[in-house]
Amino acid sequence: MKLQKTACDYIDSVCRNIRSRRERELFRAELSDHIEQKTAELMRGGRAQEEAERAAVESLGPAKTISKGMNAVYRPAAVKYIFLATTLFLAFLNAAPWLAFLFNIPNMPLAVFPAEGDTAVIGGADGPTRIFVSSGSWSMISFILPLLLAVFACITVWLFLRPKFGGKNNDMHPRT
Amino acid sequence: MKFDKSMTSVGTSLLILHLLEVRDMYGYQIISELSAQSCNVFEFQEGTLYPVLHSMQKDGYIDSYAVKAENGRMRKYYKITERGKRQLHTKKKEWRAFSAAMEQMIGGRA
Repeated sequence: MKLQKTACDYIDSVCRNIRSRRERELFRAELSDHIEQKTAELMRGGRAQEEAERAAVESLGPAKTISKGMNAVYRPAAVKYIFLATTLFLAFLNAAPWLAFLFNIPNMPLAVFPAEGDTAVIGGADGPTRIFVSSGSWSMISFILPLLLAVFACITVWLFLRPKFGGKNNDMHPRT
Repeated sequence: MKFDKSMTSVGTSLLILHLLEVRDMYGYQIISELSAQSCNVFEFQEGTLYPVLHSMQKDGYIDSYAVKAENGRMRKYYKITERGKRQLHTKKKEWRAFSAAMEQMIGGRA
């Protein structure tokens, strides 16, 4: 059975307001199936398709109530975005010296530059500050920053992709 | 008979787990069974069932899988998990204690 305008409009208005893109599409299929079954049942009772669809949609309740309920279930996890922000910050810290070098910005904020001998210059809002940095601590920074970036990037990618590759068969693919 | 919303919402997840303990079901089937088995007492806006189902799935009480239905669509079936079964038995015990206490308090005084 092909659903008509009443049902399609209702499904659109429910799904349009579901924030999670993934759940939106999965729920569209589930809701369409529900309306189709209800419509078919009402049509078996002698109603015309348009009338049956309208009744099926009415029995589901306001579109906003459903999308609000679904959004309450699939709230974006704050931890994902905290990891994303930290990864971006670490990426910037790693890239800052190169950006400063490429674009010739001597006072680039947060850029840690290796300097001749045992000194380094740290750029800041108040202008460059010359400090003594041993070669040991520079190599520690140059080792730890990329390592931290790699760790945070891996965790962030995992947090964002986890639902797609999760072990549970909770989507619309048939279980074999 | 129409009930206060707070009275029916408390038991919705318990009823869903109870139905799914018997067999796997899809959303529309759960609604039809709830209505039929309760002699139309548990009738509510059908759309409100889905956030409850999805929330229970997120909490690990139920799981889902899809089967190609007779209308050609992929139909999402829900099944109870081991965690859901434990939750059902705990909640059933709580409910029996609660309803026995209520019956003792107000039973026969209507």
